[in-house]
Amino acid sequence: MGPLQEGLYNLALRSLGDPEDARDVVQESLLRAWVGLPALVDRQTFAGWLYRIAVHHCQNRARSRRRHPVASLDDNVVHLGADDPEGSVIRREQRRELADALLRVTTEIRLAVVLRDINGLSYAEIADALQVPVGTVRSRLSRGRAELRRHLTAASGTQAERPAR
Amino acid sequence: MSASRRAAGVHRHVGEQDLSAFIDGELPDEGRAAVEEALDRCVSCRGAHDAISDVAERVRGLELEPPPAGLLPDLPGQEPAPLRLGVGPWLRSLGHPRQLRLAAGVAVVAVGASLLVARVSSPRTTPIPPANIAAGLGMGGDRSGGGTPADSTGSTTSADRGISGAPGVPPVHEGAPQAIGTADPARIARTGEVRLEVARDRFDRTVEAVQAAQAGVAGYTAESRVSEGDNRSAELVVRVPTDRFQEAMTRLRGVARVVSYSTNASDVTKQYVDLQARITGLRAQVGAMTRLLDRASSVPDVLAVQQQLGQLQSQVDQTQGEINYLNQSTAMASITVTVTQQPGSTTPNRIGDALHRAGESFISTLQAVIITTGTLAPLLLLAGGVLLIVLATRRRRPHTA
Repeated sequence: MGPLQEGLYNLALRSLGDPEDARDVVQESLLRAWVGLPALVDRQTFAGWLYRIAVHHCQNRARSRRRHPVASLDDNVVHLGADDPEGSVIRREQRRELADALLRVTTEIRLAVVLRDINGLSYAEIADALQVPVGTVRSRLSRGRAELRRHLTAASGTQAERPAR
Repeated sequence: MSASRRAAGVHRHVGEQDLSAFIDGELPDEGRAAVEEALDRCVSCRGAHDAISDVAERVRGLELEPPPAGLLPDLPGQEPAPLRLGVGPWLRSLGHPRQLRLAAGVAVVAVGASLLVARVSSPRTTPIPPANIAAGLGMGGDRSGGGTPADSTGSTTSADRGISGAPGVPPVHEGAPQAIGTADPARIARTGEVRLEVARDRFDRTVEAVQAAQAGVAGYTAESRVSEGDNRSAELVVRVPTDRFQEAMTRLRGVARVVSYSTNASDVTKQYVDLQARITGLRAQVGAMTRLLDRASSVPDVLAVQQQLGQLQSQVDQTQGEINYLNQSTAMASITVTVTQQPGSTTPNRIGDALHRAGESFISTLQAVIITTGTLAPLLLLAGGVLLIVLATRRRRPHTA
């Protein structure tokens, strides 16, 4: 499916933080889309419709996973550049912090942030995918970025304090 | 706001929501101008803007993870041919199942339209005699009247063409409507009815002759019903190869006196083409669903796919059954032959009839005697016993007196 498949997968991956869950969610979404495709009247709404399905499955999966929190998706990933191993470690650490911070905000806020900053959807498209007014999208994005900043700052402070301990 | 505060740089700070929307380019022009002005003048607003922008940039900087291999269910259309209709890339990426349905729909419409045009524009090679149509039977054709009086001169004969062609693809017949200019040959379902009347003593021989006639054209008896009694009758449904239908009708009409006969031809070509297109589409969907079933990883998925698959398979079976029925109907014509005994037509030999009746009466009387004797025998035995006792008693009385 190309870009759309990649977008759906990254939406699920960043929203849930687990590659297996992301894979399941995307497959479930595509299955639902396949079954419901004949009922789709307006072809122009297909992308938004597919995102709406994926968001719904992400929300369901996140709800069922609350009792079983998962580790950060970057915990087990090590990509060390051959030419700049130190830079690679730093970047990896930053990605891990960001992924952790994303997983600390609520699912609704996280979905809005991911749809905007990773999937690149407009506010109107996000509102359609989340089934909320545009004003709510603005509010969630603003709150989400503020909470992310707070979590990232706290994480940086913890990192800075570690050597002193 | 006082002039002194304005001079001191005091102003209303831009809210985080507006800053966030500004960074995303989602503010209207007037709001955008106000934010730009505030950013120029207010260090605090610039700081808040930079902080929000930094977070947004960091999230945007997260690398897109490539989806794992085998993520996409194996749908038909994973890599469809590029569409030339100018629809979006998303339709191109998932377009194949829709394309398949669209192609099937277009094919059906095209075939239907060509059939319609062919039927409207092309003359029938040989029209069906109105007398035959008037009393047509069965197979969805119009039945516009009762039986037609038999034509003793016999207007329909046909050469024996033999059984030719592939199974289920009967050749086109004389007198049947044809679709010209279509890829598929016309499919005609033919039925006929022949009513024969015979004398009583020729009834059995006539039924045998009917069976011999249908056997002579490689046919067979599909159903038979015989009613015994004073007015004996038999109804036989014989199936004959469609290309020997007229020959079979001619032979059957020569068996005995014909009371009436009729034929009917139904063009089921469009119905057949529609069914073929439908089953092709259904099978494609079944294939796609089967592949989806292999990919389904959770129980709800499996159940959903299985439910859809079961419904599709049921539709395939039903459609295949209809196609089989049409194949059978067009390959083999059906003729209903009714043989009845002429009313009051008994054998002309009155003496023989009298002897026959006398024999039947003799047997009936004999049966009555046997039955009566059997019924009275116990009573007679009882009465005889009583009589013997009475007689014995009377003989003893004088002797004792």
